[in-house]
Amino acid sequence: MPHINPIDNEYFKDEKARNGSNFTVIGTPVQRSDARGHVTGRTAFFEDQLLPDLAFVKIHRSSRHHALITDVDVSQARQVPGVLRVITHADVPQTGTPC
Amino acid sequence: MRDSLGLMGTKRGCAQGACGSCTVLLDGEPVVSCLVPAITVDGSSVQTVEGLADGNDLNDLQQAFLDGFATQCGFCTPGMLMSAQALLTRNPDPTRDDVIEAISGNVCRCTGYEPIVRAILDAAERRRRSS
Repeated sequence: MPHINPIDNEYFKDEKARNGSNFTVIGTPVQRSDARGHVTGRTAFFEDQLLPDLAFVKIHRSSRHHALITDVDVSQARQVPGVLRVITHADVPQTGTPC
Repeated sequence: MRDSLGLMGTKRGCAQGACGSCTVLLDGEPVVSCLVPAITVDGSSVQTVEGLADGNDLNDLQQAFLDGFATQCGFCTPGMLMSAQALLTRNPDPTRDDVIEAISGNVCRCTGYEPIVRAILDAAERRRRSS
């Protein structure tokens, strides 16, 4: 690719072009195209999309700090109407270094 | 508001009252809506960011944010606007410190606080001039 010196370019030989005085955008404030959505709350972020048939996750944490969990009984949770799946440590492959 | 009414303008940031992105006006006072159970506000007025504009006409605060480039990613903006709206209603002539205090519960992860403070002061001036 040939090296193009912008100073040799026809456009930049024009003095008005060189000092920017014939620019219509550069040097002027331009409204951001997304800002109107920001100030009206209409911009949809990741969590703002309600997809059809969306499933929701609820995390149940230990009710005691520093407790040693010996057993997790999820039988009642499984019976709640609408529950698709109950996931515990048993569903996670027990390989590698515990974190 | 979000899941039942579909009003997604009010953002769920931390869901524990720390970030201010879910700020709405409850009977005119700013509250972090994530800490307000719906059942406790029966019969109250709740204003969200969707209620600031009049149709397609932005209100003076929204316009000042737009003109002052006071949004970056835009996630904190609805909460910032509601906190600012409450401030300007109770204090039409706030100092810079008043503004900083008013949005002290609103976190902007882009850290763009300076244009936000300027925009709120600008909106206050517009409001005083037009009244």
